[in-house]
Amino acid sequence: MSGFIICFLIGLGGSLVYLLRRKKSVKEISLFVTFSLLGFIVWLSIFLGYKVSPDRFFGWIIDSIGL
Amino acid sequence: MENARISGWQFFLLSLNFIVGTAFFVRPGSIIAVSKQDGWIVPLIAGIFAVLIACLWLTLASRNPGLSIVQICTKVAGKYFGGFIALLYIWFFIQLAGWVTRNLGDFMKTILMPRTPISVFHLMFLIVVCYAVIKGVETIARTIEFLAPLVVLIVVVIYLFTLSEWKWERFEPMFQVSTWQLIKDSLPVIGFPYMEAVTLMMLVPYVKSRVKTGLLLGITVATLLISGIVFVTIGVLGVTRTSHFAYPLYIIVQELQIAEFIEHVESTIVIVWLIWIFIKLCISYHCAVTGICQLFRVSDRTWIAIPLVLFISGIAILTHENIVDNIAVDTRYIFQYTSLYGIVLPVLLLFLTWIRRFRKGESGGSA
Amino acid sequence: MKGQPIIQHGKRFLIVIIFILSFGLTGCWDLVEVNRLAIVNFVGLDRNPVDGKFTVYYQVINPTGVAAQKTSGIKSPIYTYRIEANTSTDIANKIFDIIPRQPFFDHYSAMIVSERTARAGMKEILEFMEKQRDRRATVTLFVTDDPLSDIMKTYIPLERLPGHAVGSINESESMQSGRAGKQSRVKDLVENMESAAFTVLPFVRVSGKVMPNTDRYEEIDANQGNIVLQGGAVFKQDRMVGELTLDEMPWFYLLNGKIGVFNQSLILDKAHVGVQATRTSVRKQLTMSSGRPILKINIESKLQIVENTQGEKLTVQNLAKIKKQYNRQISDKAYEFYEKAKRNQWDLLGIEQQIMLKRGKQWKDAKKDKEIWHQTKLDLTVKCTVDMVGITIDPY
Repeated sequence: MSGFIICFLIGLGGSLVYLLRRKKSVKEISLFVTFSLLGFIVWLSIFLGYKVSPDRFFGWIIDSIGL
Repeated sequence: MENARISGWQFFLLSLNFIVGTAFFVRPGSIIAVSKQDGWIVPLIAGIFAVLIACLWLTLASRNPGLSIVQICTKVAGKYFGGFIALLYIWFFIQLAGWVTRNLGDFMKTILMPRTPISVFHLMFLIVVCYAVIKGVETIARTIEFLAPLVVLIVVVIYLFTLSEWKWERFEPMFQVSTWQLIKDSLPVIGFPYMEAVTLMMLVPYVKSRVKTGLLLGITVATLLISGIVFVTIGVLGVTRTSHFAYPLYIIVQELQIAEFIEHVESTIVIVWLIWIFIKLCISYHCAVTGICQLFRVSDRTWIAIPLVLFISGIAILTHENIVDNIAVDTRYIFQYTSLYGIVLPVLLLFLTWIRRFRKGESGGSA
Repeated sequence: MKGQPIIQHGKRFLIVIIFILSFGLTGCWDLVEVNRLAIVNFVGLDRNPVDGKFTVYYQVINPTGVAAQKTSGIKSPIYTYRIEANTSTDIANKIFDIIPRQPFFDHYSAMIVSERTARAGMKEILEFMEKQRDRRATVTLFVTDDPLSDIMKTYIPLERLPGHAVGSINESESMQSGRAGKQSRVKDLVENMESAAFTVLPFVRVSGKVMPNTDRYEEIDANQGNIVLQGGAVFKQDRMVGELTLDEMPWFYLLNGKIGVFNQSLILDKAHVGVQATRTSVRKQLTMSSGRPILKINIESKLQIVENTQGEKLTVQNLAKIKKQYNRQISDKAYEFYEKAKRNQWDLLGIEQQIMLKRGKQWKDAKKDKEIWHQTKLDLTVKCTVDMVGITIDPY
């Protein structure tokens, strides 16, 4: 897991440096960071064993609506 | 938004391959397990409903010419509510990509390489697909134009060879299931793969001509292909064995012997499926990325596409634990869940479009 | 063009991608090195019905023994490993206790089970086989009542791999004599597991004494220590219920329409005429008449005369006599076979299964009655044409 975190941070840092040097718009950079963090959180939850299946989640919603 | 153009023929191939894609391998087993000898009717019924639903989408698109479904959301439903619906769609495309990726992983791990970690397949595939997505929809369309004839040819030739095992008795007793039951059984099939085709509404603005023919013909041909393969599966493998297998189509090819000495041709069918998965994944991935770009008005896809590799591969792992889990969710929820995106939201958007036009007409008239 | 950066950095980007992908190449995990494989060719399985213990024999190919026949040194083309275990899963564990290589099941050509295993029911074994991705259901399945160790521990002449040999015997019998059938694979047994139809698998024995030493390759008598086809094992679902002799086998395949070539010796006024049915088409139809099922079978053969010991010339009239005798003999023997099967409670024509598949009101009651196939009347029509008479026309 630590390997994953390190790789992720290096990747994120490297990409950020690249993006800043190419003078990308703030919106683009923030979207990039947001999606990277989303992916990071998803993988972290997998590594830590908090697996929440989106399918099951929506299934639960459908059940509670009563369809 | 990219200035890509795709032809009507390419759009037809996109729709066809998108729908057939994973369903061709995943569906026959579950259809036959439920509807037995009458399984081949189920895709036909589902296809008829799908055509009706597709007409709904096409109406929505023609009321808002030149706009993708995400753009339609923000245009007719306003910045915030519309933005929310658009986000829902984007999430659906991402989830779809996750499902497709996981189908690939499950298949490869069960059948071919049991010791390889499943994420390796996911990541390898997603990186290639990510590259294709960055290159744009024209590239994807041209790739499909190149690959589709090859794929269809291989499939037809291989399954023609399997006909040596054909027995008509395997279809007996026919027409045992009542029509109502068949319609019920076809609901999950309408959900997957047909309702997922709402994704294609992201590509409609790029199509130069013949959108309607492309989509409707794509659905029709896909229906015939799926129904045909269910038919072949029943005739060649039989209901008993098919209903026990996860990937009956693979088993058919695995047990194929051409002229006593050509055996083990199953890898060819794996290649076919990989191509199909590649196509479907490309489209859903591309639509997710384009959706995000359109919603947030970003022009460059590259840096949106790259982090999605991580996200989608994570979703693919989370989506289900194993095939049993997948089948359970599929039979129970898939129709309800996808009809949110395939029916409920389009109807809502169409309704809002009418209201908008009505108001516009009214204000135009009073001015 | 909006995608400018990627166009500029396309090559660098590609190289990076290829570099990353090469790390993921799946060879790292599912690596298969041919020299490290134990290629299994023939599997023998015995399960003690009392304590449920498995004894499994694996015949593993020894590549140097197969290839280097002329050089001195190792001569054995195969080695037989025996593994004893309590469950199928246990076998998977114990296999590594003795086999120094990775067992490779993708290419095994035949499997044999002991009669007691077959009689006790093979459901568990078949389930296990169907679940494995590397064992295919197209291998021919054999049954034997000889001790499995005899079958698995004998070298046989001519064909160096016994698995291939028995497979080929079954194959050629099914094409040349009708005394075995192609439908004797694992998948055929599995397919009938949930139906009332019967399956017949080839039954083999070892002839003479076992030859567990490679010196046997220098022995001229091929009958000693060879695996010989003996008949058929009748299966209902996953359970063996009886045995057919070799002479009865063609009738099973004929009445089920699965026969290729078969031979008949016709008796005509003390002389006999040998005919070979080169092509036989069989049509079956099950109907119900006043509460009793009738199975109509239409058999049409194309005959070739292979032997003629008659004293008279082969004329059109004489040919008509031969044809008539053929029709009579086939239907007599077929009836006889059907009656015998019925006496043994074997529904070898699959009548019960056909009734189950029928639709309509008149079949409704028949479906409930499990024994109704017993009352089925067999209505045979045999026709034939002689289209080849051989090189000579008249006998000397």
